[in-house]
Amino acid sequence: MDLFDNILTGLSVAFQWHNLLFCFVGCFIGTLIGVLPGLGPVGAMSILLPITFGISPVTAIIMLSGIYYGAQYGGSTTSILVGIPGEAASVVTTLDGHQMALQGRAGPALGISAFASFIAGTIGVLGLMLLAPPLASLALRFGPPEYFALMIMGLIILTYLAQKSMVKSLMMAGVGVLIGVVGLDTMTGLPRFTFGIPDLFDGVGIAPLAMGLFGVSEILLNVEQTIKQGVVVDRVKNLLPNLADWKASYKPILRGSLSGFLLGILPGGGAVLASFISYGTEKRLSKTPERFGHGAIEGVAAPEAANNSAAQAAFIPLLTLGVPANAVMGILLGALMIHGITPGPMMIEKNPELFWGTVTSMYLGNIMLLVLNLPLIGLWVKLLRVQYAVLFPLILFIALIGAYVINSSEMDLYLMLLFGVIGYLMRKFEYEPAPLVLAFVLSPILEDSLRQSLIISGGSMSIFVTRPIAAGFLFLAALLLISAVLPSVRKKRSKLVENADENN
Amino acid sequence: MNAERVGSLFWFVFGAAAVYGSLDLGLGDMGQPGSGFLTLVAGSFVALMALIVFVQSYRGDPASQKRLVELWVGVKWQRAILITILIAVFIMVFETLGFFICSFALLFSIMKWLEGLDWKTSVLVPAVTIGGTYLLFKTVLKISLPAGIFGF
Repeated sequence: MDLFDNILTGLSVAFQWHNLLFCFVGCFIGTLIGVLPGLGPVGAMSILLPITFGISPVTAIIMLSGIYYGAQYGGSTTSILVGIPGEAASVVTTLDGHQMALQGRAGPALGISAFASFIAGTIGVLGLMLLAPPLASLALRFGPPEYFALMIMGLIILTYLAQKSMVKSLMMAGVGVLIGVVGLDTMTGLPRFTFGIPDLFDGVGIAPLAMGLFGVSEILLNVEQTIKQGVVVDRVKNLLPNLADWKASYKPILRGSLSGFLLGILPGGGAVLASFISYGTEKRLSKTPERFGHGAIEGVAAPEAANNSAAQAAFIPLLTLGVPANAVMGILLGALMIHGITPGPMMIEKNPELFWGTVTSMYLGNIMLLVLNLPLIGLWVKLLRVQYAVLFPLILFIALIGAYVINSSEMDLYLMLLFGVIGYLMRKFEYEPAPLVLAFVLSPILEDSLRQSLIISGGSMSIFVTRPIAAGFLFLAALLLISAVLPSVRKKRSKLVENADENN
Repeated sequence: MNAERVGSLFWFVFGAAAVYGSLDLGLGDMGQPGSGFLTLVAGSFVALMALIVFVQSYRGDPASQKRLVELWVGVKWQRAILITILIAVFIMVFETLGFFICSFALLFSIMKWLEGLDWKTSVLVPAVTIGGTYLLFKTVLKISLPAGIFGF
């Protein structure tokens, strides 16, 4: 089948009424959680995981994907109108977007943000369509050593790009592996770290872990502070950017889309990093960098484009290699596994409806999001006026019920609370939860590929350096580790972190 | 107490405990790794990284480092503890008292008692949310929710 046939297959799936409906539901929820500060896509997707049990895998993935890329759209609304990022990837948008709103240009800021997101999302989907099939064919040559090396590289990249200490992030990746192996060892049948609790024999679920670390911990941190949301406008007018706005923004949008896409493909990369890098690039390229931070429209267009194309590109490693690039993709991997589908090189061939249906639905989703975020902006402005005191108990309640219904298990609720408290303490002590979750998701594949590699090589570790692809991945990982300890790189890294902190 | 050192010591103990547990699980050999092989590697790695953080805490600028108590200065930490206790109580009685009673008690106590919202909001918002959630899970998705000893 050629690309055209595949797209037709995808469209026939995406246009089925229930898929259209769930795509809309996903985009709507995504925008909602993007707009609301305090609940990111990881938390929301884990909470809604049980809802997908009663629907087909294609519909489930279409909805969950919609939540992810919808959150990238919605996050900018809060960043621009309130001045606090609705979502991590929208932190940079706050800098110029909110300044524009304060100067009475909230409309064009929201408009360019939605258009940039749409253009970048479209470019991202096209890239995904064109790149995923050849990458999947290439991945067929991957054996256990290549998978092991790829996952190690992904974890190193994620920790290298961590906003805080790299050592702490590496440590959290190790903790994630340890939590991921809890339960019965599939090879030997031995229970590991279950402390005699039968509920733990199946391991720790991704939903209680992610909901605890991202959802409950966020609530615990937020209730300690008095959150005041001040929306700077009553009504948003003139959403369409003028000619001068477009002239200033079209190149940043294209550059942001491209860099975001490339960074999104990297395991460990993603939307947050893409938005920071594209903002920095535009500031460097600008003839008037002093305008940045004071309401430059390029400072909104570029990062919004970058985070959206990165969000689409992040699907590539998951759908072609079966390796999630970030924590959100980890949740999607979990969802696919629950539905009995193992993502990997064979998935496109074995489940073309699922792959092409999901990809084409993303394009439809981008159109839906444009409608949701421009004509319906008034709805989100109203929502931003709802007090946090009303919102957070509801988020907490949905998380609790969501965690319970997956297995009707009280243990999952206790685990969620435990990880909520751990996540709260981790953030207090400046440990990032993202490497932990990614390593947790990867640990079963990591262990299997390590074991298989060692069995193949008769116990020799040289198998990881004698096979060129595996050696290449490990070489890159080693290079990153070495560069991170070089004084000049360390200095640059800490400067980047300081900037990110100031922006936060 | 230096917060960085307390944190790193906790993770050091965590890593060391994982190493200890791994030895019990059996390491196997390089050609046939046992159940404790990866956990030994991961546990040692966590302990090593924790040790590095611990040592680094002595090398950094003392003025920029926080003391343990400073992590909770200027915030209403009691509210976080209260929410944690409320969640724990909710979990403990959820299957016994059932979905409706526990959910309403949790939402009402947070909204009215902790957040000081008015009666109308504290009763109406939970009632609508709980009703909607019940309809979604029980009627649409056919997922059962605990009825509890009162049967509803």
